[in-house]
Amino acid sequence: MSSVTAGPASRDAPANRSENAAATPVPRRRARISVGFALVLLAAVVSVVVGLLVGPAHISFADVVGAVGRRLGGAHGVVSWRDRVVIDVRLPRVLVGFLAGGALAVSGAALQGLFRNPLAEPGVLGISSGASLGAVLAIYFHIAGRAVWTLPASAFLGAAVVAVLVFAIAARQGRGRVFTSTLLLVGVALMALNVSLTTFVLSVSLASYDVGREVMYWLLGGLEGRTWDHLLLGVPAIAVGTAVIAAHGRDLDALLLGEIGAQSVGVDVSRVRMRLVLACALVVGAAVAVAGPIGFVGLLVPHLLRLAVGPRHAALVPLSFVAGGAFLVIADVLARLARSEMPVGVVTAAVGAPVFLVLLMRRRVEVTGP
Amino acid sequence: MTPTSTALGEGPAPLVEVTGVAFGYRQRTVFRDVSFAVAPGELVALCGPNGAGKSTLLRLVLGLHAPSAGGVKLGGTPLAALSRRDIARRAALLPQDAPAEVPLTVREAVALGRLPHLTRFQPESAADADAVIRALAVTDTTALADRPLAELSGGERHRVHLARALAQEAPLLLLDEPIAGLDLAHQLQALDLLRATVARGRAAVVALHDLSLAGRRCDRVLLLAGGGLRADASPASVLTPELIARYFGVRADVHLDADGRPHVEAVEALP
Repeated sequence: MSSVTAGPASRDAPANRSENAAATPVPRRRARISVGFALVLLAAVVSVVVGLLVGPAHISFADVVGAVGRRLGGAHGVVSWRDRVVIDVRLPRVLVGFLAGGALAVSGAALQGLFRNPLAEPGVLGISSGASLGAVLAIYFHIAGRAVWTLPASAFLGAAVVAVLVFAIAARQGRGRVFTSTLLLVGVALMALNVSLTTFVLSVSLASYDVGREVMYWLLGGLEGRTWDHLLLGVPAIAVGTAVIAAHGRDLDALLLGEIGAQSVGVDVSRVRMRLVLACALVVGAAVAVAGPIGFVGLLVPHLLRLAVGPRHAALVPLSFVAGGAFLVIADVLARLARSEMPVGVVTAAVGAPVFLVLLMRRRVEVTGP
Repeated sequence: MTPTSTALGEGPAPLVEVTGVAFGYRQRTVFRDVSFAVAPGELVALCGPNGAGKSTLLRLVLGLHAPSAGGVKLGGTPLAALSRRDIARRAALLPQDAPAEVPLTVREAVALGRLPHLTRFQPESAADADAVIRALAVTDTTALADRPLAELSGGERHRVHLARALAQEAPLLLLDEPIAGLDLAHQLQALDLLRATVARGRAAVVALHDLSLAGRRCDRVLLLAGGGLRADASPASVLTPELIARYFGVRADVHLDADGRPHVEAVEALP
């Protein structure tokens, strides 16, 4: 923070104060955060490159660089099939995955901090299940087929309706004040309702093979067939929501002291809670809308990062975005390698859960060891 | 930042003015018609039996509860006209029960006291770092600075939360049972610390169960009991055997020392 310049001028009295200031940061945690950022950024770059290289068509690194270069250079004329695969198939798929993974991880970090509950994840407010219901309804009523954007838009609308309902019901129950525990309970109840309605729509849609298959396919989650339209639909909501969450990092830190502790250091808890829940709704709604329902990213990634860099949100939130993005892209690569069209959600949980458990146990050993 | 006097010859303006405040839950009134003011330099004890509303009153001063009647001014400004951040720069609250499972280190927790002085993305300055170092030093928690809060004992954790409130450097300190759970040495240190803090133009309102400490160490005693403020005067005139018997249901011996400060010894609970 405060760099001490060892010049002849700083030899007298003020040097003492600078020494104090320089001693303030926790050096180990600072170093870990720097290393964490470096590693996570490296993982992000590697995941994107690998995501562009892996697939049924053989594409080399040179092909990727060439395709991107030609596109950025604005080359016209005949476009080779390799360029098409890189630019129109793999790049949007990788970027949508990265965006959605980042969004889910950021909202997980924010919700865990806000509710001071390690189990909080993007599903708890019923928002992701609301998005699923919206998507499934759009498919069932044949709205989804009309344009690429109608399915994500319906999913997003479903998320928005549930977010408003959760707040309205919680505010009514608290006579105008919204309590954290009420929000969680209302969210869980609405999630159950959404899941049951989604299952109902699925069951009636099975009457038609095509519709039933499409509904089922969407519910399994996966990043096949994502286009630049999906990316453009997701970016604004996720960018705004993530920025709001990042701007409230210190408020989330203060909430670790409890609600009264946070208020006593000047955090307007009810306002912050409203903003953060809406930001999470925006981010999760958009992520599920463009990438489908993908579990475990929002739970796993922030917890892993907390073990590595500590609980402070100034580092945790941006790191969660990059790490969540990289994690989902890598999970998608593994899904593609394992079996064509295997849902990426299968991999996020199958890889994520054991990694999570191992790290949790190792951490416990460190804490209680001699 | 320092409050200026509003009228000639009235001394310093009060840091807090509570006027005719009432509070209740649904049907049950906790207290009503509570009025008092605290000026810079004062160390005020808030005493009363369990359930009299001491914690509620402290939270009300910070605007965490809305009174059903009356109003509160901090530094001359009504609470309604202040943002939560403004309030936090005028008054710091040490709550009675802070969560034990806080994943921060001691230093990180104390540094949160600087939050009201920072804008959203502003990094902590050397002045903020100094305030944290001072707060750690005076609460005897410097040696714990890099340990996780969750690993500390209850009393140590309580001192850390006191350090957090001090790091806030607000003119008014509202402390809810700041010495409960501290060992004897740290209890006395904490009260000495508050005395030294108010001597620098700040003030503290301290909810205390130990009437003897309240009598010997505080300038004034507010007695909150039976649904209202029953007394607001010097310790010697509030902590009398009669008032203690009436509002605490305890027979007590009270001796005045050479400085006229009462020493209270509870003898037995009255039937």
